[in-house]
Amino acid sequence: MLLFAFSLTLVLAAAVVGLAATAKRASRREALCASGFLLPSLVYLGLFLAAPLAFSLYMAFHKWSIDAGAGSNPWVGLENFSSVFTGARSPYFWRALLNTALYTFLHVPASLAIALGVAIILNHLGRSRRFLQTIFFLPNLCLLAAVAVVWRWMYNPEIGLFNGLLRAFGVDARIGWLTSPKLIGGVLPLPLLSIVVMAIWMSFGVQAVIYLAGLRSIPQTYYDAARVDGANRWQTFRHVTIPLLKPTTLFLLVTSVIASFQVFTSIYVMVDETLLATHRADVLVYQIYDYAWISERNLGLASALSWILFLIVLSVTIVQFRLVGREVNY
Amino acid sequence: MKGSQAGVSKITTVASFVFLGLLALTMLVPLVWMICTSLMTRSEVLGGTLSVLPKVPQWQNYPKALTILPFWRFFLNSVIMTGSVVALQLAICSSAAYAFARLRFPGRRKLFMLYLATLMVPPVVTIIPAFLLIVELGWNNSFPALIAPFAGSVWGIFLLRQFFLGLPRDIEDAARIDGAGELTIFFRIILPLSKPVLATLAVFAATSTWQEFLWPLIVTDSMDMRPISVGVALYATQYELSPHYQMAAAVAAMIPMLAVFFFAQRYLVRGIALTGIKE
Repeated sequence: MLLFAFSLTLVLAAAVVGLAATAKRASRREALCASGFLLPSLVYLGLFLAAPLAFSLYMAFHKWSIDAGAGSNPWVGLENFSSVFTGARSPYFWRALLNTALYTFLHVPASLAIALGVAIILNHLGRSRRFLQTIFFLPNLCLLAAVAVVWRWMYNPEIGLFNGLLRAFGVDARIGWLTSPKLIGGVLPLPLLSIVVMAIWMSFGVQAVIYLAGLRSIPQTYYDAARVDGANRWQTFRHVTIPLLKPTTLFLLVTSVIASFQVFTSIYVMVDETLLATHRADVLVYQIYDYAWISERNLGLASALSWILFLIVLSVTIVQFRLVGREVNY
Repeated sequence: MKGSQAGVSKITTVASFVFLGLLALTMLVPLVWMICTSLMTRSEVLGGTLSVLPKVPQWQNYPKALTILPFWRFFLNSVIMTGSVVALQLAICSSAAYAFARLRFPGRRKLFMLYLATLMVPPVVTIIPAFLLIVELGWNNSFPALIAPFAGSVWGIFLLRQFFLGLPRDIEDAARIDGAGELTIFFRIILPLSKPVLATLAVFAATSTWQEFLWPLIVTDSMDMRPISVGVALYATQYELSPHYQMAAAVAAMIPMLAVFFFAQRYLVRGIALTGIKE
């Protein structure tokens, strides 16, 4: 990897400098200067992005034990990929994929809807807005790992806040919010839902602030025109606010979906270890981590899975641009 | 007619204020709960009855919690890691952004598109080979391992380029006529004019580095190289039955970031607006 990374970086840098040298004589000095300015970023991207990206594809076709020395990584062809989709590990993969998708499609729409609602109400308030805005923003500024530790405690079945509240209302609750292996409706593991609630708590505030910026950039004249035409509140919202917020929505949607597909920290900190070992509450990034460093200790298998995740995220993003982006006029 | 409409809108204003106020209070529950629990005795916490306020605030929980694990070491590691990443990102991103915004060279547009395309690569794809690279360099469990993979940021290059493009060219042209070189223009004109956007990048780099979890988990294995994110998670597993210490550590881990970023809020929002909404 070391040799490969250095050679690839060297080639990249040489290519850009060489390209600059082909510039016409009059602008050659400027072009060479530019390649000088680009060099630090090229070295960084070569070593920590381009080379690892290419190398992980190479690794995906090998059995690559993390404990074996270099040179003992046999070529296995497509076995890493096929063992993800068929065979003993495939139920784990489908479970993790389903969990990741459930997490994303529960978290993102709920969070965006709350954010939009809050932003609209905030927009109607005067000066008191700032104070409330700061409170909603607050969780996003907390250290996620620490937040996860706190919520893990709040979800404790014996002495946590949630079961405590239920008991205060007379329900004898012993709900294992983060430990229950049961599936809600046969599909959704309870721990995942618990973590979604925390994720919404953490993320909607910052999204509301972004929506608020979007709302405030809509010219008043559109609303005046709607009023003249006799539109009621709902019609104005449906036909003026929503369409004009589309670029904001697209931006928030794409970035939150990409982030949600890579959820890891909260799962690692919060979900019960024995439950994680059964792969019941797995998500894709956790499974990659698990295959590489915990259970299989096979970096090749983990790399194959990471490429599958990459392709899934890429296609989901393209679909979103197609569905929402088509109607966006900047 | 007009009067009744004003009345209605007054009612909606009050109603929405009350609604948001209640929502804000709910938002604060986990944080209040965290602080209260951090000040309780163990028997109060594990008592089984839902008590909110500690009978007598146990301030000594804090010094105790911060010494049962090397909390200050975690903290120092995170400060060093974050500080170095911010400095490196400012240097690497601003120089690349300058080339893309101000200098002409063959293939500029294509190269920039190539840079942007890398934003699509999820970090988890590159961490496995990057881990091998770090091991082969003999850097595992050291600061270079924590810092190097975050030294640059394509998002940062994009942010700075957008800002540089908007800077007036007059001063620059005048300097060029006076015989100033690119380095002089970059250091003496562009960078001083770009303080707000550099601050925005610094804040973003700092928040994301402070939050970094998976990578430090992989490349560090000794207590004294763990950053605060991984360190604070250790409390949950190693002191499972001492929630008051867990909460004290969580409070101590959150405060510095809150303090810094509370004042930097406008830079955060500005950064999002610059890259996200205004195309």
